[in-house]
Amino acid sequence: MIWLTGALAAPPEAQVGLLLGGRSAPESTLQVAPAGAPTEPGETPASELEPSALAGLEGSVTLRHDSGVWASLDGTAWLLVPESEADRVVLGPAVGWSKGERTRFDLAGRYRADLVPLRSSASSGRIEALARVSATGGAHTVELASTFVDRHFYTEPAWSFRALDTGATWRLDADGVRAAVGASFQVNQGVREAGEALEAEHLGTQARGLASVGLNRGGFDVEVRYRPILAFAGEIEDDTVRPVIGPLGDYAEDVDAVSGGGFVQHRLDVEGAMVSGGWTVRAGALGRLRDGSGATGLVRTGHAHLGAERALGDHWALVGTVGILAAELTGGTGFVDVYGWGGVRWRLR
Amino acid sequence: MNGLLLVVLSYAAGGSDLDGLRDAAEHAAADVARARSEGARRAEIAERMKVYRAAAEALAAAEAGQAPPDGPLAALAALTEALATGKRGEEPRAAVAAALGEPAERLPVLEEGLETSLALGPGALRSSLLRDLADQADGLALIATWDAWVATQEQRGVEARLAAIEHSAPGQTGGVDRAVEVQRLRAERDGLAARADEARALAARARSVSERATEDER
Repeated sequence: MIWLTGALAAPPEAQVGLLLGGRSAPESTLQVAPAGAPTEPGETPASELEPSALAGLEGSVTLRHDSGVWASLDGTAWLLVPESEADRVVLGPAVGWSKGERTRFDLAGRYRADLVPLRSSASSGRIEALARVSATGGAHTVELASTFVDRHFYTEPAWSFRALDTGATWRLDADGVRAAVGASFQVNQGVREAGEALEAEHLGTQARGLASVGLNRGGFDVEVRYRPILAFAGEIEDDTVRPVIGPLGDYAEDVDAVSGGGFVQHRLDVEGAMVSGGWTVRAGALGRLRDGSGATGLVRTGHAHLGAERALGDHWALVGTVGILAAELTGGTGFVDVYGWGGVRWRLR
Repeated sequence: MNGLLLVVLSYAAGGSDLDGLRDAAEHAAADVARARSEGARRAEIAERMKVYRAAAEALAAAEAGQAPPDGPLAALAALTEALATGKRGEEPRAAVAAALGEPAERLPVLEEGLETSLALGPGALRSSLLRDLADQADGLALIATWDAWVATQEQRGVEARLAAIEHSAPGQTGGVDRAVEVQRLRAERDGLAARADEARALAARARSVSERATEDER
């Protein structure tokens, strides 16, 4: 706590927002049963996903200190009617320390509690830690990073896993044009039920790649990323379809974390934003194709979203987001989840 | 010394009328840059750009038939043009700063020089010192306005990158590596905002020196 007695590098940043909207298949963010597979308790068959209205409350606060330490807390609560089983509270405290410019060290840790009150089997906690060192010379940066993730489902531990990813990335950033190429090696381990007991699954491994290009010019930013995964070994998962897009419209990286017997996956992301005259517009799209024995559940996924924010003075803003997720499951069925919400946000900066 | 050179060159180029036109073009360019920094509507920027073009054309017409400006005056003209059009102006900025000094270091000297000059009795020496001070202050104001414009542009770029990463709701940043990137970008954004504010304050101080010197010289 000593650092709190020093000087904050900037005033605290905080925001609170109230959102209203709807979602055509909100239960797809929980657990979907593919065609032909027996429906487990808590699963919703893809053909029975139904639309809901939603209300959301969001908030976050961040503190940054001169010493390079930062801490943040964000939270979101979603209420859905009539599909209230998908009601959700997400809380994410995080803390980190960064130091240096040409040679930079980053340490960070985050916990994310994802609570689904009416379907406790889908509630989980997630620990994530990062250690990274990077060296910059001119427009070039080389970084070495290690990320550890431990996700534990509170009442359904058979979904739990942990993974350690270590790799190197080279980045170029010159005159608003940036590019990156990276590779990492990931080791993952799931948990499975053995009778009454739980035991760790076999180790799975993954070779992961990254190639990206981006452009930043005049309040406009766009980046395209290609991320292939070559997964080996690991226990083959059951047919449960873990949510690929979270309740907030973000890609659930965890869906790729376990090797599940091996697969080849291609993923292409495009994301961009434009800031101009009180307007902020964001857009993104993602395509994901998986093949191999570990291709249980979701085979192909496409997602796109568009969001806009209009500042009303220094603190208030109107916000709106629309998005669509389309997924093809093993067995040939699939679902489409269309969502949209709008609301008002108060921001302190 | 460099400031005096500027005055001499300015006189050689045609005297105080040219100075007035040059000042008008510089002020109009700074006005366009300010509007652009504040995210003004296109029509508003175009309106101010029209004023700048008129001033630049009047200056060009007054300079017609004379030797084209070189040295610091040419750099000032290039920086004025860069400021108005939003194009690259690092080289003319460096040339003007090499002639006049960096605003943060040079302004206190000019402010002190202004007080000293105002304390002199009326006469040719006082007038010429005040004219020199006003010219130098105008140049420094131009540099500082340019610096503020560059910092604001960079800040907008960082804000766009932040917006792309942060998505549209808290907690949507993806992995912890992106949460770290968000913090890095926020620190960079705040640093650029402070740099822009500092440059704007320097520009205002320089303009104040120029205005006081010009009023008293008259």
